[in-house]
Amino acid sequence: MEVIAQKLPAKIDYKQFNSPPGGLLMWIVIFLEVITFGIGLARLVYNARLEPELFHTSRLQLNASIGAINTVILLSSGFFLAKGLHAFKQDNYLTTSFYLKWTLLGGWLFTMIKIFEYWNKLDAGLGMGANMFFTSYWLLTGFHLVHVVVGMVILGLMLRSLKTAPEKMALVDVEAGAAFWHMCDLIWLLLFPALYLIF
Amino acid sequence: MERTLNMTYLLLIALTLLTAVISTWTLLDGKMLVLVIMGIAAAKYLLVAFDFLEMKKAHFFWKFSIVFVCLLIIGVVGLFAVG
Repeated sequence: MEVIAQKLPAKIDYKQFNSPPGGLLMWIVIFLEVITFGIGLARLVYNARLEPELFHTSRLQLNASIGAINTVILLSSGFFLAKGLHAFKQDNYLTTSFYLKWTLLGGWLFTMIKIFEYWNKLDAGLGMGANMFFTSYWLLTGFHLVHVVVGMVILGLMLRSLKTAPEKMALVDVEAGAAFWHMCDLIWLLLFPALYLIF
Repeated sequence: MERTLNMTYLLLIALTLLTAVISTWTLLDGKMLVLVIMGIAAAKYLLVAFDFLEMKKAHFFWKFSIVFVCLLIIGVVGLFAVG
């Protein structure tokens, strides 16, 4: 019997309620994650109203330029991933692999810059217990960084599959991996202004 | 598709740079500055969701939900910050 490696249908009807890009389960995860971080941000701004001076002086101890650079890096990696997904849909695995590598490079740069920033904060004695602002800063950015690292692992596994058996990769799985990475973008787009700019 | 992605990316970078510049302005008063910065953040969030995540192709429910959640979070943060 001839066994034919088959991709799942390349065409997905995204207009159906139960098939958003990335799949229903991934979108439930995305909403739960974004809402959870949203609650964290609501707590941050609520606390800021209680001690506005403390939050202002604490915020000034963050480097907004580093935050902006990390935003550009994360947006660029998201852009490369969107291009990679577009190439995957056209069965252009080499191009997909190329863009995935750039996406991973973006994630790696983001992580390195974040570690550099954490190192500086710890060196200045601004750990999680320094004050209410820094408790929120460490919790929100720390959990976000964990998501970025998990996203990099997912992208790494996708890259490995692209090298070994790309024809066996289901579009919905690739889209789910991409959706997880874009979720990291979405969360950072909320964290950056709230932590680095507005107080 | 490719062209739309490129345009969205350029717009996102431009909005990020604009945010960085605006945050140093002293022309706007504090409350207005917060509203402008959070407004730009909302625009970037929706651009990523609709173009990079391709939510523009999704069912109305998902489009509505992503806009609703974005406006809810940005609204709460913005209003608490200026309130």
